[in-house]
Amino acid sequence: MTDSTRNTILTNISNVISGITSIKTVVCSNGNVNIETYKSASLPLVQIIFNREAPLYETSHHALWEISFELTCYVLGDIGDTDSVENIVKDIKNAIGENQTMNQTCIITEIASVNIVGDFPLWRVIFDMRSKYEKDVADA
Amino acid sequence: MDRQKQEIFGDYKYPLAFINDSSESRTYVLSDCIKVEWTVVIVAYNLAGDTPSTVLNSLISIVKSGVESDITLGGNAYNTKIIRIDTDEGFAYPNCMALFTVVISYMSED
Repeated sequence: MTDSTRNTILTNISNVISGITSIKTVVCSNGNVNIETYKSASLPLVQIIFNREAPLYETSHHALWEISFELTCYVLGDIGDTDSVENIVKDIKNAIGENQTMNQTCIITEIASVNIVGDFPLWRVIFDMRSKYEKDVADA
Repeated sequence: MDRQKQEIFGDYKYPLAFINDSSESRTYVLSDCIKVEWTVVIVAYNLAGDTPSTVLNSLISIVKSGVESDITLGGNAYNTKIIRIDTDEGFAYPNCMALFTVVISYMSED
């Protein structure tokens, strides 16, 4: 594998999230999207930001690498409306859980944590994500 | 009554209140979802009589109760709060006056 693995994994994660019917928009970006430029019809909107890549162990020829990335879902909801946020969490968990190899581009993709933050009426559901994959050191 | 000022010698029945449109603060959440904080000023008058302070406090209590009885204003806002109350401090005698600064928060599409 080459360094393009990272992009391939992110692309596949983007595709997996795009397949969730309750998600309207998926954006891969290097930073937070300017959410106030989007219309409410674009939400729930998922933003995927690559965070960090690190080797977990190395031998002379192979290494297991881990990329971490942040998946943020912007959701509109009323003050007392917890169902819409909880359903999004469930849908994303299910989609990741059903395809942890991201179409065979990594060994496993895990959700390290889920945080819900924001102010009425815009909530952000932030998934801290990790994908592990093998990469030949010679190609690194 | 939606007026910008009281006519000093108008033919009014007391207690009375004027509601004045003041300012509107807009925060864009999305391009078509704007959090609006609209400030209105309620100017309430009563006849002071022999006990201006008592009458004024009663007037303040009535207006506070009225505003707080439905902070959604019939489902049109998600919050209504009184952020400041001023009084005439006796200068309006034989009337007494309380001035309520009220912030109404609601969501707008435009």
